[in-house]
Amino acid sequence: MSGAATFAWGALWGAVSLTIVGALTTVLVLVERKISGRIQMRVGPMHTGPHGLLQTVADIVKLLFKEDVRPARADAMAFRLGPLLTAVPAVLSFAVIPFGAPLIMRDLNVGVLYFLAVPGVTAVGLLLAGWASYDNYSFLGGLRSSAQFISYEIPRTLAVVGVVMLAGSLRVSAVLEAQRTVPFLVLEPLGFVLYLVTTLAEVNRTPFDIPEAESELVAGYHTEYSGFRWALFFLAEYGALFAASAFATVLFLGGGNGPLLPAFVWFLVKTLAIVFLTMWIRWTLPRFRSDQLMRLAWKVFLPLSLVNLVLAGLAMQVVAG
Amino acid sequence: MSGGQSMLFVLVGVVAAVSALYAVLTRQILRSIMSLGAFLTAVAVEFYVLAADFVSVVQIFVYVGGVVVLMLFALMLSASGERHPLAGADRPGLGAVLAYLVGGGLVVASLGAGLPEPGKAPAQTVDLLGRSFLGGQLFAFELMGVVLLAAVVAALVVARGERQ
Repeated sequence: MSGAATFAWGALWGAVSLTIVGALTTVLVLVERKISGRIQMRVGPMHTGPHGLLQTVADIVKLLFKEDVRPARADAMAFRLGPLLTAVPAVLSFAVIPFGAPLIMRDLNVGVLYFLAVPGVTAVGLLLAGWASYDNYSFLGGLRSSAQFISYEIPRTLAVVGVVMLAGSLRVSAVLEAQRTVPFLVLEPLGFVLYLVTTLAEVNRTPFDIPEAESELVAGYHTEYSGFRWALFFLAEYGALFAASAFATVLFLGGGNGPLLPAFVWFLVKTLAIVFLTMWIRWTLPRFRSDQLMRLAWKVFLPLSLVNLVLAGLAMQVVAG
Repeated sequence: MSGGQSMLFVLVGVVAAVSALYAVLTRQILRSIMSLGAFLTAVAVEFYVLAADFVSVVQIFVYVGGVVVLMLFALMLSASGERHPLAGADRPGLGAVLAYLVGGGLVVASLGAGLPEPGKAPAQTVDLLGRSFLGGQLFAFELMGVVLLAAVVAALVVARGERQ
Protein backbone atom coordinates (compact mmCIF):
# COMPACT_ATOMS: atom_id res chain seq x y z
CA MET A 1 0.00 0.00 0.00
CA SER A 2 1.19 3.54 -0.66
CA GLY A 3 1.70 5.98 2.19
CA ALA A 4 -1.57 7.85 1.63
CA ALA A 5 -3.60 4.64 1.35
CA THR A 6 -2.04 3.29 4.56
CA PHE A 7 -2.87 6.54 6.31
CA ALA A 8 -6.48 6.49 5.08
CA TRP A 9 -6.85 2.82 6.13
CA GLY A 10 -5.46 3.64 9.58
CA ALA A 11 -7.75 6.66 9.99
CA LEU A 12 -10.76 4.56 8.95
CA TRP A 13 -9.86 1.89 11.50
CA GLY A 14 -9.37 4.53 14.16
CA ALA A 15 -12.90 5.84 13.55
CA VAL A 16 -14.32 2.30 13.47
CA SER A 17 -12.48 1.33 16.70
CA LEU A 18 -13.78 4.43 18.44
CA THR A 19 -17.34 3.61 17.34
CA ILE A 20 -16.94 -0.02 18.41
CA VAL A 21 -15.66 1.01 21.86
CA GLY A 22 -18.54 3.45 22.30
CA ALA A 23 -21.18 0.98 21.17
CA LEU A 24 -19.63 -1.88 23.17
CA THR A 25 -19.58 0.15 26.37
CA THR A 26 -23.23 1.07 25.89
CA VAL A 27 -24.22 -2.56 25.40
CA LEU A 28 -21.85 -4.14 27.94
CA VAL A 29 -22.84 -1.81 30.79
CA LEU A 30 -26.49 -2.74 30.24
CA VAL A 31 -25.63 -6.45 29.95
CA GLU A 32 -23.54 -6.25 33.10
CA ARG A 33 -26.37 -4.59 35.04
CA LYS A 34 -28.83 -7.21 33.82
CA ILE A 35 -26.45 -10.08 34.67
CA SER A 36 -25.69 -8.65 38.11
CA GLY A 37 -29.45 -8.34 38.65
CA ARG A 38 -30.02 -12.00 37.75
CA ILE A 39 -27.15 -13.15 39.98
CA GLN A 40 -28.53 -11.15 42.91
CA MET A 41 -32.16 -12.28 42.31
CA ARG A 42 -33.17 -8.84 40.97
CA VAL A 43 -34.37 -7.85 37.49
CA GLY A 44 -31.94 -4.96 36.85
CA PRO A 45 -33.00 -1.75 35.07
CA MET A 46 -36.59 -2.10 33.74
CA HIS A 47 -38.15 1.33 33.23
CA THR A 48 -36.31 2.96 30.30
CA GLY A 49 -37.51 1.35 27.08
CA PRO A 50 -38.78 -2.24 26.79
CA HIS A 51 -37.21 -4.28 29.64
CA GLY A 52 -34.90 -1.33 30.35
CA LEU A 53 -33.04 -1.79 27.05
CA LEU A 54 -32.56 1.96 26.55
CA GLN A 55 -31.16 2.59 30.05
CA THR A 56 -27.53 3.11 28.99
CA VAL A 57 -28.55 5.19 25.96
CA ALA A 58 -30.38 7.51 28.35
CA ASP A 59 -27.29 7.49 30.59
CA ILE A 60 -25.11 8.68 27.70
CA VAL A 61 -27.43 11.59 26.98
CA LYS A 62 -27.35 12.47 30.67
CA LEU A 63 -23.52 12.30 30.77
CA LEU A 64 -23.18 14.54 27.70
CA PHE A 65 -25.27 17.27 29.33
CA LYS A 66 -23.70 17.06 32.78
CA GLU A 67 -21.57 19.93 34.06
CA ASP A 68 -17.84 19.36 33.71
CA VAL A 69 -16.63 20.01 37.26
CA ARG A 70 -12.96 20.46 38.09
CA PRO A 71 -11.81 20.77 41.73
CA ALA A 72 -10.43 24.27 42.42
CA ARG A 73 -6.97 23.03 43.47
CA ALA A 74 -6.64 20.38 40.77
CA ASP A 75 -3.74 20.55 38.31
CA ALA A 76 -5.59 21.63 35.13
CA MET A 77 -3.32 19.98 32.57
CA ALA A 78 -2.96 16.65 34.35
CA PHE A 79 -6.69 16.60 35.19
CA ARG A 80 -7.56 16.86 31.48
CA LEU A 81 -4.79 14.50 30.34
CA GLY A 82 -5.66 11.71 32.81
CA PRO A 83 -8.91 10.44 31.23
CA LEU A 84 -7.49 10.81 27.71
CA LEU A 85 -4.36 8.77 28.48
CA THR A 86 -6.62 6.14 30.06
CA ALA A 87 -9.03 5.82 27.13
CA VAL A 88 -6.73 6.25 24.10
CA PRO A 89 -4.57 3.11 24.70
CA ALA A 90 -7.75 1.02 25.00
CA VAL A 91 -8.87 2.23 21.56
CA LEU A 92 -5.36 1.82 20.09
CA SER A 93 -5.23 -1.82 21.16
CA PHE A 94 -8.04 -2.58 18.66
CA ALA A 95 -5.50 -2.09 15.84
CA VAL A 96 -4.14 -5.65 16.15
CA ILE A 97 -7.34 -7.56 16.94
CA PRO A 98 -8.27 -9.92 14.08
CA PHE A 99 -12.08 -9.89 13.85
CA GLY A 100 -11.90 -12.55 11.12
CA ALA A 101 -9.32 -13.08 8.38
CA PRO A 102 -9.19 -9.71 6.53
CA LEU A 103 -10.64 -7.67 9.39
CA ILE A 104 -7.42 -6.61 11.09
CA MET A 105 -6.01 -3.13 10.74
CA ARG A 106 -2.37 -4.13 10.68
CA ASP A 107 -0.96 -7.64 11.04
CA LEU A 108 2.22 -6.36 12.71
CA ASN A 109 5.32 -8.56 12.96
CA VAL A 110 5.17 -7.82 16.68
CA GLY A 111 1.36 -7.78 17.07
CA VAL A 112 1.29 -9.82 20.29
CA LEU A 113 3.90 -7.60 21.92
CA TYR A 114 2.03 -4.48 20.73
CA PHE A 115 -1.09 -5.73 22.45
CA LEU A 116 0.78 -6.18 25.75
CA ALA A 117 2.66 -2.87 25.50
CA VAL A 118 0.13 -0.27 24.36
CA PRO A 119 -2.62 -0.79 26.97
CA GLY A 120 0.16 -0.49 29.57
CA VAL A 121 0.15 3.27 28.97
CA THR A 122 -3.24 3.30 30.74
CA ALA A 123 -1.33 3.16 34.05
CA VAL A 124 0.07 6.64 33.33
CA GLY A 125 -3.46 7.98 32.78
CA LEU A 126 -4.83 6.47 36.00
CA LEU A 127 -1.91 7.80 38.05
CA LEU A 128 -2.26 11.28 36.57
CA ALA A 129 -6.03 11.37 37.09
CA GLY A 130 -5.70 10.26 40.69
CA TRP A 131 -2.95 12.71 41.50
CA ALA A 132 -4.34 15.71 39.62
CA SER A 133 -7.70 15.53 41.41
CA TYR A 134 -6.06 16.77 44.65
CA ASP A 135 -8.14 14.40 46.73
CA ASN A 136 -6.96 11.67 49.08
CA TYR A 137 -9.36 9.00 47.78
CA SER A 138 -8.39 9.66 44.17
CA PHE A 139 -4.72 9.77 45.08
CA LEU A 140 -4.81 6.41 46.89
CA GLY A 141 -6.80 4.91 44.01
CA GLY A 142 -4.20 6.11 41.50
CA LEU A 143 -1.27 4.76 43.54
CA ARG A 144 -2.94 1.40 44.06
CA SER A 145 -3.79 1.07 40.40
CA SER A 146 -0.23 1.70 39.26
CA ALA A 147 1.29 -0.68 41.83
CA GLN A 148 -1.22 -3.34 40.77
CA PHE A 149 -0.62 -2.68 37.09
CA ILE A 150 3.15 -3.06 37.30
CA SER A 151 2.93 -6.19 39.48
CA TYR A 152 0.44 -8.06 37.31
CA GLU A 153 2.04 -7.05 34.03
CA ILE A 154 4.94 -9.46 34.71
CA PRO A 155 3.03 -12.76 35.17
CA ARG A 156 0.64 -11.69 32.39
CA THR A 157 3.47 -11.18 29.90
CA LEU A 158 5.11 -14.45 30.95
CA ALA A 159 1.80 -16.28 30.45
CA VAL A 160 1.70 -14.98 26.87
CA VAL A 161 5.37 -15.95 26.29
CA GLY A 162 4.29 -19.61 26.47
CA VAL A 163 1.91 -19.05 23.56
CA VAL A 164 4.60 -17.23 21.58
CA MET A 165 6.99 -20.16 22.15
CA LEU A 166 4.43 -22.61 20.76
CA ALA A 167 3.49 -20.39 17.81
CA GLY A 168 7.10 -19.44 17.09
CA SER A 169 6.05 -15.92 16.15
CA LEU A 170 4.81 -12.60 17.57
CA ARG A 171 2.57 -12.11 14.53
CA VAL A 172 -1.15 -12.42 15.28
CA SER A 173 -1.94 -14.29 12.04
CA ALA A 174 0.86 -16.79 12.77
CA VAL A 175 -0.49 -17.43 16.28
CA LEU A 176 -3.91 -18.16 14.73
CA GLU A 177 -2.37 -20.34 12.00
CA ALA A 178 -0.56 -22.44 14.63
CA GLN A 179 -3.92 -23.20 16.26
CA ARG A 180 -5.60 -24.44 13.09
CA THR A 181 -5.94 -27.99 14.46
CA VAL A 182 -5.57 -27.67 18.25
CA PRO A 183 -6.27 -24.44 20.18
CA PHE A 184 -3.55 -23.50 22.67
CA LEU A 185 -6.06 -23.87 25.50
CA VAL A 186 -5.45 -27.63 25.25
CA LEU A 187 -1.65 -27.31 25.28
CA GLU A 188 -1.48 -24.39 27.71
CA PRO A 189 -4.35 -24.63 30.24
CA LEU A 190 -2.28 -23.04 33.03
CA GLY A 191 -1.28 -20.18 30.71
CA PHE A 192 -4.93 -19.52 29.91
CA VAL A 193 -5.94 -19.36 33.58
CA LEU A 194 -2.96 -17.11 34.37
CA TYR A 195 -3.76 -14.78 31.47
CA LEU A 196 -7.41 -14.55 32.47
CA VAL A 197 -6.79 -13.86 36.18
CA THR A 198 -4.00 -11.33 35.61
CA THR A 199 -6.16 -9.64 32.97
CA LEU A 200 -8.89 -9.14 35.57
CA ALA A 201 -6.26 -7.36 37.66
CA GLU A 202 -5.03 -5.28 34.71
CA VAL A 203 -8.46 -3.93 33.86
CA ASN A 204 -9.29 -3.36 37.54
CA ARG A 205 -12.18 -5.81 37.71
CA THR A 206 -13.43 -7.54 40.85
CA PRO A 207 -11.93 -9.42 42.67
CA PHE A 208 -9.05 -7.06 41.86
CA ASP A 209 -10.89 -3.71 41.75
CA ILE A 210 -9.05 -2.31 44.77
CA PRO A 211 -8.13 0.94 42.93
CA GLU A 212 -11.83 1.84 42.89
CA ALA A 213 -13.08 -0.09 45.92
CA GLU A 214 -16.24 1.88 46.65
CA SER A 215 -16.55 0.93 50.30
CA GLU A 216 -13.15 2.40 51.17
CA LEU A 217 -12.13 4.79 48.37
CA VAL A 218 -15.50 6.20 47.16
CA ALA A 219 -14.71 5.72 43.45
CA GLY A 220 -10.89 5.73 43.50
CA TYR A 221 -9.11 7.70 40.80
CA HIS A 222 -12.32 8.94 39.14
CA THR A 223 -14.01 10.23 42.31
CA GLU A 224 -13.66 13.89 41.26
CA TYR A 225 -14.65 13.44 37.62
CA SER A 226 -18.06 14.14 36.14
CA GLY A 227 -19.79 14.27 32.78
CA PHE A 228 -17.96 13.01 29.74
CA ARG A 229 -14.52 12.97 31.32
CA TRP A 230 -15.95 10.42 33.75
CA ALA A 231 -17.49 8.53 30.84
CA LEU A 232 -14.01 8.23 29.28
CA PHE A 233 -12.95 6.06 32.24
CA PHE A 234 -15.92 3.81 31.57
CA LEU A 235 -15.11 3.65 27.86
CA ALA A 236 -11.55 2.70 28.79
CA GLU A 237 -12.63 0.01 31.24
CA TYR A 238 -15.10 -1.75 28.95
CA GLY A 239 -12.98 -1.19 25.84
CA ALA A 240 -9.99 -2.76 27.59
CA LEU A 241 -12.14 -5.60 28.93
CA PHE A 242 -13.42 -6.45 25.44
CA ALA A 243 -9.98 -6.09 23.84
CA ALA A 244 -8.37 -8.32 26.47
CA SER A 245 -11.11 -10.94 26.03
CA ALA A 246 -10.67 -10.75 22.24
CA PHE A 247 -6.97 -11.32 22.72
CA ALA A 248 -7.61 -14.30 25.00
CA THR A 249 -9.63 -15.68 22.09
CA VAL A 250 -6.68 -15.10 19.74
CA LEU A 251 -4.04 -16.54 22.08
CA PHE A 252 -5.84 -19.57 23.51
CA LEU A 253 -9.14 -20.28 21.73
CA GLY A 254 -7.99 -20.22 18.10
CA GLY A 255 -9.60 -16.90 17.15
CA GLY A 256 -12.19 -17.27 14.39
CA ASN A 257 -11.43 -20.99 13.79
CA GLY A 258 -14.55 -23.13 14.00
CA PRO A 259 -16.94 -25.23 11.93
CA LEU A 260 -19.91 -23.99 9.82
CA LEU A 261 -20.21 -20.36 10.97
CA PRO A 262 -18.02 -17.61 9.44
CA ALA A 263 -14.82 -16.62 11.30
CA PHE A 264 -16.25 -13.26 12.35
CA VAL A 265 -19.18 -14.88 14.17
CA TRP A 266 -16.98 -17.47 15.90
CA PHE A 267 -14.62 -14.76 17.03
CA LEU A 268 -17.42 -12.68 18.57
CA VAL A 269 -19.06 -15.72 20.23
CA LYS A 270 -15.79 -16.79 21.90
CA THR A 271 -14.90 -13.24 22.95
CA LEU A 272 -18.33 -12.51 24.42
CA ALA A 273 -18.21 -15.84 26.29
CA ILE A 274 -15.03 -14.66 28.02
CA VAL A 275 -16.57 -11.24 28.71
CA PHE A 276 -19.53 -13.03 30.31
CA LEU A 277 -17.13 -15.12 32.39
CA THR A 278 -15.47 -11.97 33.79
CA MET A 279 -18.88 -10.49 34.67
CA TRP A 280 -19.92 -13.73 36.34
CA ILE A 281 -16.70 -13.65 38.41
CA ARG A 282 -17.27 -9.99 39.30
CA TRP A 283 -20.69 -10.57 40.80
CA THR A 284 -19.78 -13.84 42.53
CA LEU A 285 -16.45 -13.25 44.30
CA PRO A 286 -15.60 -10.75 47.06
CA ARG A 287 -12.77 -8.23 46.68
CA PHE A 288 -9.19 -8.98 47.76
CA ARG A 289 -7.40 -6.79 50.28
CA SER A 290 -4.54 -4.66 48.97
CA ASP A 291 -1.73 -6.65 50.62
CA GLN A 292 -3.32 -9.99 49.63
CA LEU A 293 -3.40 -8.75 46.06
CA MET A 294 0.31 -7.94 46.03
CA ARG A 295 1.26 -11.20 47.72
CA LEU A 296 -0.80 -13.08 45.18
CA ALA A 297 0.99 -11.39 42.28
CA TRP A 298 4.56 -11.89 43.48
CA LYS A 299 4.37 -15.14 45.46
CA VAL A 300 1.78 -17.12 43.52
CA PHE A 301 1.34 -15.86 39.97
CA LEU A 302 4.98 -15.07 39.22
CA PRO A 303 6.26 -18.57 40.19
CA LEU A 304 3.28 -20.18 38.44
CA SER A 305 4.01 -18.25 35.26
CA LEU A 306 7.60 -19.55 35.35
CA VAL A 307 6.26 -23.11 35.79
CA ASN A 308 4.03 -22.39 32.80
CA LEU A 309 7.11 -21.54 30.71
CA VAL A 310 8.60 -24.96 31.50
CA LEU A 311 5.28 -26.61 30.62
CA ALA A 312 5.23 -24.66 27.34
CA GLY A 313 8.70 -26.04 26.59
CA LEU A 314 7.41 -29.56 27.20
CA ALA A 315 4.37 -28.89 25.01
CA MET A 316 6.74 -27.73 22.25
CA GLN A 317 8.49 -31.13 22.45
CA VAL A 318 5.14 -32.94 22.27
CA VAL A 319 4.03 -30.90 19.24
CA ALA A 320 7.38 -31.46 17.52
CA GLY A 321 6.89 -35.21 18.21
CA MET B 1 12.62 5.52 2.68
CA SER B 2 9.87 7.06 0.59
CA GLY B 3 9.13 10.79 0.60
CA GLY B 4 6.23 10.39 3.03
CA GLN B 5 8.36 8.35 5.43
CA SER B 6 11.17 10.93 5.45
CA MET B 7 8.63 13.68 6.08
CA LEU B 8 7.14 11.70 9.00
CA PHE B 9 10.65 11.00 10.32
CA VAL B 10 11.55 14.71 10.37
CA LEU B 11 8.17 15.75 11.82
CA VAL B 12 8.33 13.25 14.68
CA GLY B 13 12.00 14.14 15.18
CA VAL B 14 10.99 17.76 15.80
CA VAL B 15 8.37 16.61 18.34
CA ALA B 16 11.02 14.46 20.05
CA ALA B 17 13.53 17.33 20.21
CA VAL B 18 10.99 19.87 21.51
CA SER B 19 9.64 17.51 24.20
CA ALA B 20 13.18 16.55 25.25
CA LEU B 21 14.11 20.24 25.62
CA TYR B 22 10.93 20.97 27.58
CA ALA B 23 11.63 18.00 29.89
CA VAL B 24 15.00 19.53 30.78
CA LEU B 25 14.00 23.19 30.90
CA THR B 26 10.72 23.13 32.83
CA ARG B 27 10.88 23.69 36.59
CA GLN B 28 7.77 21.59 37.31
CA ILE B 29 8.70 17.99 37.88
CA LEU B 30 5.33 16.54 36.77
CA ARG B 31 5.51 18.41 33.45
CA SER B 32 9.08 17.23 33.09
CA ILE B 33 8.09 13.57 33.48
CA MET B 34 5.12 13.89 31.10
CA SER B 35 7.33 15.59 28.54
CA LEU B 36 9.86 12.79 28.91
CA GLY B 37 7.01 10.35 28.22
CA ALA B 38 6.14 12.27 25.04
CA PHE B 39 9.81 12.19 23.99
CA LEU B 40 10.07 8.43 24.55
CA THR B 41 6.87 7.85 22.55
CA ALA B 42 8.20 10.00 19.70
CA VAL B 43 11.44 7.98 19.68
CA ALA B 44 9.35 4.78 19.51
CA VAL B 45 7.60 6.18 16.42
CA GLU B 46 11.01 7.01 14.89
CA PHE B 47 12.12 3.41 15.44
CA TYR B 48 8.96 2.21 13.70
CA VAL B 49 9.53 4.51 10.72
CA LEU B 50 13.07 3.09 10.52
CA ALA B 51 11.59 -0.47 10.24
CA ALA B 52 12.73 -1.49 13.74
CA ASP B 53 9.26 -2.57 14.85
CA PHE B 54 10.41 -4.79 17.74
CA VAL B 55 12.57 -2.07 19.30
CA SER B 56 9.72 0.41 18.80
CA VAL B 57 7.14 -1.64 20.72
CA VAL B 58 9.63 -2.57 23.44
CA GLN B 59 10.40 1.14 23.83
CA ILE B 60 6.71 1.77 24.61
CA PHE B 61 6.47 -1.32 26.82
CA VAL B 62 9.53 -0.68 28.97
CA TYR B 63 9.91 3.09 28.96
CA VAL B 64 6.41 4.58 28.68
CA GLY B 65 4.55 1.74 30.42
CA GLY B 66 7.29 1.03 32.96
CA VAL B 67 9.87 3.72 33.62
CA VAL B 68 7.53 6.72 33.30
CA VAL B 69 5.00 5.01 35.59
CA LEU B 70 7.74 4.32 38.15
CA MET B 71 8.91 7.95 37.98
CA LEU B 72 5.35 9.21 38.52
CA PHE B 73 4.95 6.73 41.35
CA ALA B 74 8.13 7.95 43.02
CA LEU B 75 7.11 11.60 42.56
CA MET B 76 3.69 11.03 44.07
CA LEU B 77 5.00 9.08 47.06
CA SER B 78 7.62 11.71 47.85
CA ALA B 79 5.81 14.95 47.04
CA SER B 80 2.44 13.84 48.49
CA GLY B 81 0.35 16.07 46.28
CA GLU B 82 2.41 19.26 46.54
CA ARG B 83 3.61 20.81 43.30
CA HIS B 84 7.29 20.85 44.11
CA PRO B 85 9.41 22.81 41.67
CA LEU B 86 12.70 21.18 40.77
CA ALA B 87 15.56 22.23 43.01
CA GLY B 88 18.34 24.11 41.20
CA ALA B 89 21.57 22.22 40.55
CA ASP B 90 24.46 22.86 42.96
CA ARG B 91 26.98 23.74 40.28
CA PRO B 92 25.13 24.82 37.13
CA GLY B 93 28.35 26.17 35.54
CA LEU B 94 30.20 22.86 35.74
CA GLY B 95 27.16 20.96 34.45
CA ALA B 96 26.76 23.30 31.49
CA VAL B 97 30.44 23.00 30.53
CA LEU B 98 30.28 19.21 30.72
CA ALA B 99 27.04 19.08 28.71
CA TYR B 100 28.45 21.35 25.98
CA LEU B 101 31.68 19.34 25.82
CA VAL B 102 29.89 15.99 25.45
CA GLY B 103 27.24 17.35 23.07
CA GLY B 104 29.81 19.21 20.96
CA GLY B 105 32.05 16.16 20.87
CA LEU B 106 29.17 14.00 19.62
CA VAL B 107 28.28 16.52 16.89
CA VAL B 108 31.92 16.79 15.73
CA ALA B 109 32.33 13.01 15.77
CA SER B 110 29.13 12.39 13.79
CA LEU B 111 30.01 15.07 11.21
CA GLY B 112 33.51 13.69 10.74
CA ALA B 113 32.43 10.05 10.53
CA GLY B 114 30.88 10.30 7.05
CA LEU B 115 27.48 8.62 7.15
CA PRO B 116 27.06 5.40 5.15
CA GLU B 117 24.30 5.05 2.55
CA PRO B 118 21.03 3.84 4.13
CA GLY B 119 20.76 0.06 3.76
CA LYS B 120 17.71 -2.05 2.94
CA ALA B 121 15.79 -2.96 6.10
CA PRO B 122 15.07 -6.69 6.49
CA ALA B 123 11.37 -7.58 6.42
CA GLN B 124 11.52 -9.49 9.71
CA THR B 125 13.69 -7.97 12.44
CA VAL B 126 12.22 -10.03 15.31
CA ASP B 127 13.66 -13.33 14.03
CA LEU B 128 17.10 -11.81 13.49
CA LEU B 129 17.12 -10.20 16.94
CA GLY B 130 15.98 -13.40 18.64
CA ARG B 131 18.58 -15.49 16.85
CA SER B 132 21.43 -13.13 17.71
CA PHE B 133 20.30 -12.85 21.37
CA LEU B 134 20.36 -16.63 21.77
CA GLY B 135 23.23 -17.13 19.31
CA GLY B 136 26.25 -14.88 18.91
CA GLN B 137 25.26 -12.41 21.63
CA LEU B 138 24.24 -15.08 24.16
CA PHE B 139 27.02 -14.26 26.64
CA ALA B 140 26.23 -10.53 26.71
CA PHE B 141 22.51 -11.29 26.97
CA GLU B 142 22.97 -13.62 29.96
CA LEU B 143 25.46 -11.24 31.58
CA MET B 144 22.84 -8.49 31.38
CA GLY B 145 20.39 -10.78 33.19
CA VAL B 146 22.91 -11.35 36.00
CA VAL B 147 23.57 -7.60 36.32
CA LEU B 148 19.82 -6.88 36.54
CA LEU B 149 19.37 -9.65 39.14
CA ALA B 150 22.18 -8.14 41.20
CA ALA B 151 20.44 -4.75 40.97
CA VAL B 152 17.16 -6.25 42.22
CA VAL B 153 18.89 -7.95 45.15
CA ALA B 154 20.75 -4.72 45.97
CA ALA B 155 17.50 -2.75 45.92
CA LEU B 156 15.93 -5.28 48.30
CA VAL B 157 18.91 -5.04 50.66
CA VAL B 158 18.71 -1.23 50.67
CA ALA B 159 14.95 -1.28 51.31
CA ARG B 160 15.20 -3.90 54.06
CA GLY B 161 18.15 -2.15 55.73
CA GLU B 162 16.16 1.04 56.12
CA ARG B 163 13.31 -0.74 57.84
CA GLN B 164 15.43 -2.27 60.63
